[in-house]
Amino acid sequence: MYNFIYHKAESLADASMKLKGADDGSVLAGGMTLLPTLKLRLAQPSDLIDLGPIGDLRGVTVSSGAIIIGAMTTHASVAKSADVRSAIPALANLAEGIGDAQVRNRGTIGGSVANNDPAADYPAACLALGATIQTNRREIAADNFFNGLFDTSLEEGELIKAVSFPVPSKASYEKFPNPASRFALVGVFVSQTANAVRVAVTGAGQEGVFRVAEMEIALSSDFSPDAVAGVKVASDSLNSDIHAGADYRAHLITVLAKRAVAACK
Amino acid sequence: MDIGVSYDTDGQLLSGSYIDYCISLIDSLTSFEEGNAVKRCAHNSFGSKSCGEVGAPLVVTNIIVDGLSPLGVSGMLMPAISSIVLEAI
Repeated sequence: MYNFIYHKAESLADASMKLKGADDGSVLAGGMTLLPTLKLRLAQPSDLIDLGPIGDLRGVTVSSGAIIIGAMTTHASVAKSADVRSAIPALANLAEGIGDAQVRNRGTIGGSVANNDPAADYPAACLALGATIQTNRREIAADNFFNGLFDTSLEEGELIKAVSFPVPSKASYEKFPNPASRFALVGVFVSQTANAVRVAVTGAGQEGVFRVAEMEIALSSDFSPDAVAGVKVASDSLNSDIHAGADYRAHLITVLAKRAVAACK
Repeated sequence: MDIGVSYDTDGQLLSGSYIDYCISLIDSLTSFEEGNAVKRCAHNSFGSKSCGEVGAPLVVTNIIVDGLSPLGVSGMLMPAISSIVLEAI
């Protein structure tokens, strides 16, 4: 690890100001990606601005037809939340399946969404549930938020305040975890609302999370596992690495989509 | 469970941390019964088999091949990660 100056943020405005004042500052949420990156000396920020002390970024609130999760809410808290469990069980299950117990107790939803790791679980939930990312400046629809590998629509000094998930009629998330990291080798999130079906895939795309229009159309007329059984995503734009090839990931997308539809509730 | 130590064509280690190199944890295991099958080897003076070698991966792979034999699987590359198993089928 290289040296850096550590700051505690008192509020999002304070964090944004401290970030602006730093040469090359990084924001610390749960640190489950950032800290290992620092330890491996793959990054050398001049300053770390810790969002940990900002208490009002933590917690789950229920508002008309939506579950709003504060940016610094840990995966373990989301998994344990009775409100999330009763309104969107698929989201509680997703949180329960992230990493291991240590990661779930430190890692946060805001950190995961802002990092937009191509194999992270939350981006699939955001896209499939049509979530809204609330920042210190504006509200961004998930459809306009994820811009490819580790890239989002967040501007300089813009920080996530909360993520708002509309409650679907039913939803499910099926993940094939990478046995080493437990990130998604492939993860498929399916949701059905009164007027739409959404299917989002993580872990597989070279440009990160994406929706599968062909599956959404098929499910809109027939919401059954058979409806997606014949839909294959082309492997050209999928990841290939030491853990699995693009063809295997393409195969998994269809298998997991079928399972997700079957498990939807 | 996963590919193990892996290098690219330039010799760069690709599995340099436990994010990419899989170590089995307690929740990776299924329940199993343990036992010894003791039989002296007739082909060397020690009477030992696989002395100092790890025989378990072979045994596990044979179990997988045996289980998949109704599907026409007669052999498989190691390690038996999910994509290799699918390919064998």
